[in-house]
Amino acid sequence: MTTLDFISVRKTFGSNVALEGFDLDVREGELISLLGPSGCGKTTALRIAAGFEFADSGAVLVAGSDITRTPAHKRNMGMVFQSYSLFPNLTVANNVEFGLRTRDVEKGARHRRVAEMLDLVQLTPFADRYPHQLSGGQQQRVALARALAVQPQVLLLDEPLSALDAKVRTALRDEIRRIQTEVGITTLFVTHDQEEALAISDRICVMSSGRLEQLGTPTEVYRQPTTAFVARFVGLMNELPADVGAAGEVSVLGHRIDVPSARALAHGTSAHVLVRPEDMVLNGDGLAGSVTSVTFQGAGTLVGVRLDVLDRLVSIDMARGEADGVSVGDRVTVGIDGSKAVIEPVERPAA
Amino acid sequence: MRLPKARALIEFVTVLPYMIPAIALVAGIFVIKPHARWFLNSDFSLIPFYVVLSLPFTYRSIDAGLRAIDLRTLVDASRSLGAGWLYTLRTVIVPNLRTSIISASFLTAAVVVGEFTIADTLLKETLPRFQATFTAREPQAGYLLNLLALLTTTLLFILLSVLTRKRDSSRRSFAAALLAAEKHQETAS
Repeated sequence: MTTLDFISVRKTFGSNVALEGFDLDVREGELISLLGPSGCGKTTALRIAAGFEFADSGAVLVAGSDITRTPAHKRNMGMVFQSYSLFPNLTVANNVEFGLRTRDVEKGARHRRVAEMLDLVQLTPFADRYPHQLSGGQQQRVALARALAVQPQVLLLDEPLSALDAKVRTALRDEIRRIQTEVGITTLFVTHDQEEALAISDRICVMSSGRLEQLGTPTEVYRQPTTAFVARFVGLMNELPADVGAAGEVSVLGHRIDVPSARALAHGTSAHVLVRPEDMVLNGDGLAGSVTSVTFQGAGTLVGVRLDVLDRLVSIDMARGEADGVSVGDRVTVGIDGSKAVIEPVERPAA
Repeated sequence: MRLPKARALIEFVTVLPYMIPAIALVAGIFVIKPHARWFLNSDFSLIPFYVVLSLPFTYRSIDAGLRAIDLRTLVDASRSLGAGWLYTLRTVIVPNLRTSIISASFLTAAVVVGEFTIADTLLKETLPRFQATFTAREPQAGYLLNLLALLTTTLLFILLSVLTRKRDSSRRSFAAALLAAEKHQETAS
């Protein structure tokens, strides 16, 4: 088991910068998700770790040794792709065996390892099937077994769940996490699905345009986003215009709230304040509006309110029972708890 | 696979032998003849011409096979599992293009067996040329021979479809190529 480090990695494709000064340290046995919109460089980072692409500058270290220029087949990585990566001409067992053959593992040991891996992903009865005889979820489990069979130093997962339907996706997501913890392997997981990242990661690395935006535990990324990008990308956010006053006091549409994160900003700055739906309360002291939607979500209820002053929709997350009796068209007031809000100064267009 | 922009150009080049009649190709021979007499006289001189002629069929067939599988991902998977280029070619690429490669070879054989113009110009005694001279000499036996030749190619195609039946990933696209080849064969003989 090992660590994986990216040290100020830069990668360009033509004039397009895919990664810029990218630093990341994956600790031993840890699962880190690379999360971001498409084109943010997360797949490029993974492909550089796998050796399919090479960094223009910077370095990649595995267990402290430099592998920046090592070709893919000389590295010891286990990779699971988005889909259809099983060799269609080989059976499940032979697919899992592939990496052991290239390493010239002796036959008996090979068969034992294949049996052990198929058992791990619970596909032993399918050993003699061909990939096209399996469902999408089963294929991805075989791909996982194949990647782990060679006892790689690092496991690389490139959106392994995105081609599956919702139910299989959650089941396989939890299974990947179970297997990853069981094997204790250092893992890099690429995804554009924040829910997936929040659910299975030890830490999440949020990326945008080739840079690392924030690295932190799922709770940190969700609760204390350090940049407005992270705040908007992870989870739902209500965005309201605000003017910064003295000592962290912020005026949102004439209504004063306390936003600790605004203390760093100068008095009189125009800003956007970003507040989670669960940090807003219905019928508190605040902004007037009318209810436009009530969406029951099982554990809670999401209430949409159109504000009078701004003609903007905000969402409020209410715990079970609290939203009883609220219906579309009701006149309400919306209170804001600014303690966890993120504030982003508005950049004035140059005159 | 690696250069998507080159595809349009390659596709255009591979249909050129279709558009340009064989006789135009042969006319070119006379331009180079003074410089390449030793080559044109050798038994191997037909090879480059036949390579050009069969290019549309081999290219189409293999291209269809490549499109049917996600070769890029398979190659990446193979490389990350520790396989070098040769091992990847042998265990991943060739087995998965088996159908395409077989049909490409059969189509090439069919084209070559039916080709008359170039062989006649280069004075090479190939089967179609023999058929022509033999028919001129012995009309009745000659027609029988032609019929036999036609039957043989038909049998080859039946054999081809049996061989490739198991895996039908790229079958439909080369069925079209097959018809085209059959037509080519008829016009030649």
